[in-house]
Amino acid sequence: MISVNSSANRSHQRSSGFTFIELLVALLILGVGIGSLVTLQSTFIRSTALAAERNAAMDIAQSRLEQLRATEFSAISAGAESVNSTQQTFAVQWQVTNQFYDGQWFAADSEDLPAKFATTPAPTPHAKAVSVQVSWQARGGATEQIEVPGWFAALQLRDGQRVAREPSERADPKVVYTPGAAPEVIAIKLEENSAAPEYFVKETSKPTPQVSRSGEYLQVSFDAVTYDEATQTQRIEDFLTLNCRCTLQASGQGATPNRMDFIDGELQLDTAASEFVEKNVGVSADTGQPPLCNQCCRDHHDSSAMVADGNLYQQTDDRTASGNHRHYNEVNGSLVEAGVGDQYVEACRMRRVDGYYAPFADWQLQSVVLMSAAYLTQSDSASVYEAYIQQAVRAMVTGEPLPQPPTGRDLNVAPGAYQLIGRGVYLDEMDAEHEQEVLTRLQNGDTDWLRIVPFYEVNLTLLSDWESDNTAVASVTNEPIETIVDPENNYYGTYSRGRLQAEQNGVSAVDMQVLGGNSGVIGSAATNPVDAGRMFNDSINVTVTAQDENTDLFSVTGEINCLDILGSSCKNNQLRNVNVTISDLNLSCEYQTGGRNQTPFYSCANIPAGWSGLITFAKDGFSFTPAQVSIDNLSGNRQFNILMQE
Amino acid sequence: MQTSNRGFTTLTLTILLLAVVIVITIFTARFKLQEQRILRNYHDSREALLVAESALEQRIAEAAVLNNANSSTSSGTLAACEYELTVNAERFNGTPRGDVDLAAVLARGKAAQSDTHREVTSALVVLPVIRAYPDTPLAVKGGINVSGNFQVVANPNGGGDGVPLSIWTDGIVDVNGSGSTCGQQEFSNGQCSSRPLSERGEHGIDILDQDPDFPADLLDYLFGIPGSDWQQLRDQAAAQLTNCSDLESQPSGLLWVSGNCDVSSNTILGSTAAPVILIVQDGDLKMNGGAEVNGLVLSYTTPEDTGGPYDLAMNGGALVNGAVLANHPASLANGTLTVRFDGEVLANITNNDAFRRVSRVGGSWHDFR
Repeated sequence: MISVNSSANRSHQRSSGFTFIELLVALLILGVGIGSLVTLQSTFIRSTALAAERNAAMDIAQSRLEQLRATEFSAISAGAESVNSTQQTFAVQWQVTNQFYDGQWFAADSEDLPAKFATTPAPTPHAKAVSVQVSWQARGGATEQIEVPGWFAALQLRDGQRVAREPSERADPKVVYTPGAAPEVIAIKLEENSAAPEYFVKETSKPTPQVSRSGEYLQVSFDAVTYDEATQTQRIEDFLTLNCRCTLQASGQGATPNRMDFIDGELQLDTAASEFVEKNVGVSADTGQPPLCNQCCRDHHDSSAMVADGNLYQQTDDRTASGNHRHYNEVNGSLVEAGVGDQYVEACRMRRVDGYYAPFADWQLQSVVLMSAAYLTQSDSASVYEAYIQQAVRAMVTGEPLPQPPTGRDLNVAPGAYQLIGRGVYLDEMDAEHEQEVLTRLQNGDTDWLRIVPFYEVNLTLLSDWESDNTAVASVTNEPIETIVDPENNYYGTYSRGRLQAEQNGVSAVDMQVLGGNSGVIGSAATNPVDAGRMFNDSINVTVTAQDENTDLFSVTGEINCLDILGSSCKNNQLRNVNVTISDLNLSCEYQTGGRNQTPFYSCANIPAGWSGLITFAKDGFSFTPAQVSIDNLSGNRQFNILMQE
Repeated sequence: MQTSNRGFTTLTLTILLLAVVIVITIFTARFKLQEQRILRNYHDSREALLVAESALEQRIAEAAVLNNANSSTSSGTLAACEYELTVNAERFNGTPRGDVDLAAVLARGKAAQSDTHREVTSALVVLPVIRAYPDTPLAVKGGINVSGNFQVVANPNGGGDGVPLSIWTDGIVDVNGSGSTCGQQEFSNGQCSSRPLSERGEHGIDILDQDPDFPADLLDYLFGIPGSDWQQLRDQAAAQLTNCSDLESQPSGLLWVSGNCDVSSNTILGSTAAPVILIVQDGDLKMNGGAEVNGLVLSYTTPEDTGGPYDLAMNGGALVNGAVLANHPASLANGTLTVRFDGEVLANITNNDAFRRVSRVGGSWHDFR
């Protein structure tokens, strides 16, 4: 132990204290080292403090921007304030620059600002650009500053949950379908199952085809209405058929026809079917004819491509080299083929598409039926006729022979005037796919197959030619188609066809005939041999019995011509509900009107010979000349035409 | 030998001491650096956010000026910071509010001195002012007395496929003069009165009157805004006027006139490509000879108004290509007036940007992805 102690004492003596130099060097090293580390630390502290201050400044700037965001746009304006935070005072300043957008942004103080924004008073800016500057005195005395941008759009509009909230349902107008009345209009049910709760109904109305003639030119229009009983909606197909005089041109751009097609499970207009193609064209040859003739002359031509495509105006095999159907001019009553540069007569069918008439494939008449107006107003016979139409269309589609026309149409009448009605069924050409669909439905026993068949049942009374083989027994009117109003020459905008005038005992066959194609629809002469070769006719026997036991029976009949307050021909509803009364309770008179083109008439039938009395005419708002007809000792059929004026 | 050993010891000690100090300093430095980084990132992140927000607002303002928010991408610089903008629009056709665009505007801002970036998104909805154009060229609540010479050209499909519609009212249409309604083709051919759909004595299918289902609120029918909130519609107007003396200088769009509006002779307002909606609120509307409006004219009496009844008078060859509506009885008594349903003009009223309004979708702003 001692030796250890002595050794330790020795050692202590040897190393008692550092030398001054050692200390100095050590201090120097430590000094330099620690000194620089302290400097480093202080730099760290300073920069951390600065960063913290910058963040505090950013906080302040952000908060200012948030405040501005909550300010109404018009109130956003420049300002300054002083904010204390983290033991510092920050000076906040914000500038606002109005901004206008015109393809790019322009500051209101920009030299390039478009003049329209530089008006006085200044327009509301589209946006405001804000620059927020926050400055403060950093440690060490230096002034620090940050600057942050902010933009504010003028758009204050909020959707107010309009996107999420559905508005009230829009009440769109619903046009209620008013069915036409027999005998002028016949509604054909497009459903063979009479118990089906939902079905479509089709009828052509207006209520009869509306005819207008100017010179040799005729326009006939009618609507085909298809009505859905279930949804109470309707579709109107507005057809117009007209004849024109054209000059044939070599070639040009003309439209192909529109057609009804099977689209999305329904019969719909195929607007894609009509397009402009290069083909023969025509130009109107008479400036006096209807404006639609420009379209009719131009478009009503076929081409080889259209033949290949199956979308044709006229179905015929007799075509020119270019595939066009032949065009003809009427020379001395016969049709002569027209070459390029020649004039020709034309008849076109058009259908209204979005308000304008567009070309349509030609009418193709398939069958006609003649009957009395009374036949169609009796529900039993009317349904027989409806069933006949359904069967006839079925036969037309399947290619079977047409069924026998309804029986029981022959007439037994006393002397008097009776309206006869001629009706035709037209069927449009269907493409192969469409036709196959109809046949498939028929095979499957679908009872609503008629819905997809483009057929039209049309009242052709005023467009057919009428004839009686024994005019002494019963004559039938067949007046020229004329729609002018010229009271002095006895024209009142109407004409009469198919009105049976039963005169005396006997039998007469009454016949109606009508041409097959477009020419038939306009009641004009055939414009081509195809139409001329397709004549449809029907006839009935009329038996007139002019005796009741031992008394001869006569009639008093007559036309009623009507002019409205402006001197124009009367309209449908003005022609309706005219009261014709006879001063004898045992006798009666009937008044009949059939659309605005057909001359209305009255008929007091079954009047015994020797009768005397008065027949009186009345309708609110109208005067009659004469207002009454006085009969004294009737000894024959008498006719008195009456003028009715508003 | 001993001395040099002593010196070495001192140096070692010194260095050791120094090393300890250095280690402490390094730790401090790492800590400080971390703190710096955090502060820096925090700062940059907020800078990027503010830039993104500014860019977003700028794009929204642009959309509001253009009245559309079509899909697009763009980029730019704001206060030395870069940003990118992406608009993703989706069109919803045929909604109860018409054809609606819903657009997500995404702004991506970048800090000036680092790669820090932030994204903010906000949704815009572009709604047509009019939810669907009217079905008829003339729709009047309370009935129409037409004794002058007028022509109304029907909407060819107003009542369904091929079903023309020209006048719609809950009251009675009393055609006394030499007026007529007709189809588009007939009007084009100058045959409106000779080949009419309806005329004096002949009430065609195109006149739908005494309709119990006529909209009780025309503003709601047209714009989807209840009549009591008519101010909402007025606020969307391109111009709010107090009279019609200076109509021609107005832009295409919704023109709102409070008070009487006298459209002077031969004024042509709007065009097919750039039509107008002229709303006359609580005032007489008079169109004088040769005045022509391409667009929609609405004579509107507000629910709280007591100054009525107001006149709707159209004189001497005034022409409206589009539609005329009134929520009060109208007398079209004098002169000649033509109202032609013009599908093209009315389609432009529903589709043109001038008739669409950009709105912010409430609650759609977000800064997460």
